[in-house]
Amino acid sequence: MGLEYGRLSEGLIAELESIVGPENISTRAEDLLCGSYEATPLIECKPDAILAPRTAEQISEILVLANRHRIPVTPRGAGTSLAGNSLTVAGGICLDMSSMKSILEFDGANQTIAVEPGVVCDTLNDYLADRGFFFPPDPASSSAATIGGMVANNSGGNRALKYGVTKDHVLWLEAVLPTGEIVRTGSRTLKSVSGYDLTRLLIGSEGTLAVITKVGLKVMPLPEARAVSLYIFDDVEEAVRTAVEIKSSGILPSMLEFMDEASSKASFEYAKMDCPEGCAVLVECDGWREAVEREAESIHRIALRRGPKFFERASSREEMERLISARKAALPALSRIAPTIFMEDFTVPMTKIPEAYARIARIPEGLDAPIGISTFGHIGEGNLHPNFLFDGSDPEQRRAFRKALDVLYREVVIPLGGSITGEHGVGLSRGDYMELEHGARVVGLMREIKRVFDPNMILNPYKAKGGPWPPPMDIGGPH
Amino acid sequence: MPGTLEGPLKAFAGDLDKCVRCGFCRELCPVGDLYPWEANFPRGKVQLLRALARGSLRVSNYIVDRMYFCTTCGYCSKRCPSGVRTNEAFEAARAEFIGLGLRAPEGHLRVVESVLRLGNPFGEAEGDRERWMPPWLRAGRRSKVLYWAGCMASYRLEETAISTAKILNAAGLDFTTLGRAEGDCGSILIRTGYWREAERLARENTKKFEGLGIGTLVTSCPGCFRTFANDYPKLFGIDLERDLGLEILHSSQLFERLMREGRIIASGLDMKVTYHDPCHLGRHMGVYDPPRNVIRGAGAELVEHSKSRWLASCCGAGGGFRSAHGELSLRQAARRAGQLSDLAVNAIVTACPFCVVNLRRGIEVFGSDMPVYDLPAFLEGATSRAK
Ligand SMILES: Cc1cc2nc3c(=O)[nH]c(=O)nc-3n(C[C@H](O)[C@H](O)[C@H](O)COP(=O)(O)OP(=O)(O)OC[C@H]3O[C@@H](n4cnc5c(N)ncnc54)[C@H](O)[C@@H]3O)c2cc1C
Ligand code: SF4
Ligand code: SF4
Repeated sequence: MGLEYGRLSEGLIAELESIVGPENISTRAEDLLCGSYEATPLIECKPDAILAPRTAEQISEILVLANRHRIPVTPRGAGTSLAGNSLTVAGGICLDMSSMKSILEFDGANQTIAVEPGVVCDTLNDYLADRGFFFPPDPASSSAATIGGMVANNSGGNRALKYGVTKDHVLWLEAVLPTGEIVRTGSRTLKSVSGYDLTRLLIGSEGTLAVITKVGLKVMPLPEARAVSLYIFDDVEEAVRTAVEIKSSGILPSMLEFMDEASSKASFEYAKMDCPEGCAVLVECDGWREAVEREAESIHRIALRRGPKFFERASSREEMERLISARKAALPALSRIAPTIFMEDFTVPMTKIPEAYARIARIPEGLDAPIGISTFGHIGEGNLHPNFLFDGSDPEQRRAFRKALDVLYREVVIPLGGSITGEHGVGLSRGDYMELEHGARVVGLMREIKRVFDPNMILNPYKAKGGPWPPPMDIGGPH
Repeated sequence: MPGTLEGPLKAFAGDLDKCVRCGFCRELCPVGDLYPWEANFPRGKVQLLRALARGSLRVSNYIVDRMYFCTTCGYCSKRCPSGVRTNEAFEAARAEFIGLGLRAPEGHLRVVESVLRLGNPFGEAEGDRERWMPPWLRAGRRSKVLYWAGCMASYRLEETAISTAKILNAAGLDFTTLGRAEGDCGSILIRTGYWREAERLARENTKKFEGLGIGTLVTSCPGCFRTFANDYPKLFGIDLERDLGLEILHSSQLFERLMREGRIIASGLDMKVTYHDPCHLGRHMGVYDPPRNVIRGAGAELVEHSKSRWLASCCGAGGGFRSAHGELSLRQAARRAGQLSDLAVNAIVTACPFCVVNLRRGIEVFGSDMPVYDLPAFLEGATSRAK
């Protein structure tokens, strides 16, 4: 079902220009091309104009105008999403939020900070580290991802096992509704149950319900000590079981990550690390020095029982960062071995990981074209990223990839009690599997919520969370 | 656009395809956010070039401007997990455009014309190049070691050249200069895409070196260092090390060596300093430790900023950015100077005359009076103390 949208006429563009100023609007072909992509491969959608607003008031005026004329508006942070989340499927306005990047107010005593949505995760953490604090969510894309994008996607990352995901650190939001009202949700206090939890509703809404213009975050004191260790195994099964055993041992590491042979090889090559090829388990513990030592020792004993061919404990801060940055580079580093990498993001209960891994490894056998798979992920949270490696310019391989996805969801993830996406979101690429996981009634409820916020369906339309789904136009990609 | 990718960019087609658009290179690009659009960030630049290569965009003034809006600091390339040689591709794009008959944007052009006419980027008289030199250095003495001061130290930051000469002299190292014949190394022409003209200059310079019987070439400027050691062989097939048996050193490497040999004696600097890695010395040439060892060797305590070594932010001066975008370059200089002066140190030391000049302006704008030294002047202070 298609929606009727208005055209962004020259008159409207002039009005938008008067809202944000001529230097903050572009309709140049080159800028539109650069607003047409994100980190998702194979899908590109050109907006008709890009705007770089600086205030909530400007965004409110933009949305009032867009709502009146039914122009689609899609917010965008750094464009690092992996499911088409920030792409302007129906054209219209790309609202580039990355220029709104001030840190507004840090309150060390209450351990909170207020920021604009364009602040980048690592930049926030640099600022906080100077003051003895940190913001725990740490997606592998932390060097690029904006806080607005992280909130809208409810991003997870490497430390979710111990510290939770973005939603666990957001106290309040200022947001602009698609109809133009500027609202504040949540409370500055750590506890508040005085209404439906609209903050949590907006978190993870993938830019379909409101444009986030300010974010109030909880921060935490930096732990006194950290220990980061790397174990490499010849056998993938041993690596996976090691991770499961660490998790079940009663220790709560701050990071428990896995990389199979192909992804660890590419990542270590990038980080110029001299370690043998094999499947890697990366573990971080943090906290009080004595506790960290004890935890690291226990983990070491567990890992040694499974006979790693190599292990290393980082001896300096630089070495810790190097190990972690190697893991963070896993996805882009894989581009060294295949032209197209499509990253999936399912979760299953942690104990089902070995079974899930084994089933995934068999997927290529049933395909008509060669598709490679390399898997890494936040194994401690039962969140794996199988990466499908192929040549996206070959229609046959694309079809085979499409089938591989189907098998992944229908025969692995859902039967094992998992979710189709742990942290990257539904966007465009997982829309077809929403009902498989949630059932028609729940998906219907979600669409009704969307209508309450956005009666004219102008905000990031044709995404699976808000609908309508599927989009009537060809969006490329695997579909 | 027909003809695109037939020139220097052609070698980068594979790199452009490898970009997975992860955006890791975005945030710390020193110039990205000086302009609101993605097209200005390294990822955007890569995607623009990819679109040119595939024919989905044509060369436009806007694209040309974007490629020149870059300090060629090399951060994006070091950051890129996919191994895309980003900044090299941007430099090749500039050369591609010039090869297609286009011109560099205005501010860059002025500098290029000065280099071509006068052998320096500042519009200065050629004869003034030796202004800093004591008379004994001016006459073309024969020696195994040639000190190439470079344009910035010769015309704008004479303290660098003077201190270098004093230190080497005190170390008992016999060296010479080319005097007023030194001329330009070609760095600016290369960085701005005028590779044909740069190659001519490179060949002229090679001829100058040939007859001298030198074994070592020492530069003050990391830009000259990179140009001689990296760009001449890569772009023009002129390998001074292989063909002339030259050892090419940045002065920080020579200082370190002379210190190790006990020929430079410096001590007792009761100072805490931080070191700013110049892009051309650090990221481009991998020289991170020699300047640090010299600073420590002088007795100073070195405090590292979290954005140092390969992560160091650019001072904003490179790649012709300062000449073309003075005000924006200053904004980046102030940003970097501000980062460094936030540390509890008495001074900022770097090893590049361009960085010194830009960071001094930056620190003023930032509102601090922290001194910024080039390594030679800093070291000279410590050697005179040790006497
Ligand atoms: C190499 C790589 C590794 C990654 N690793 C992880 C990981 O470990 N964990 C993880 O969770 N994710 C990961 N991601 C996914 C992605 O980086 C995160 O989801 C990130 O938080 C997105 O931030 P962004 O600023 O790029 O947002 P975008 O991609 O620009 O936008 C994300 C969504 O938010 C919306 N949006 C953006 N800003 C606003 C706003 N101000 N108001 C309302 N809506 C807004 C957009 O419309 C879109 O739907 C990874 C991505 C890459 C490329
Ligand atoms: S080389 Fe430096 S200035 Fe140029 S695009 Fe890359 S990071 Fe930015
Ligand atoms: S870091 Fe490399 S792969 Fe990632 S966007 Fe930049 S150039 Fe592309």
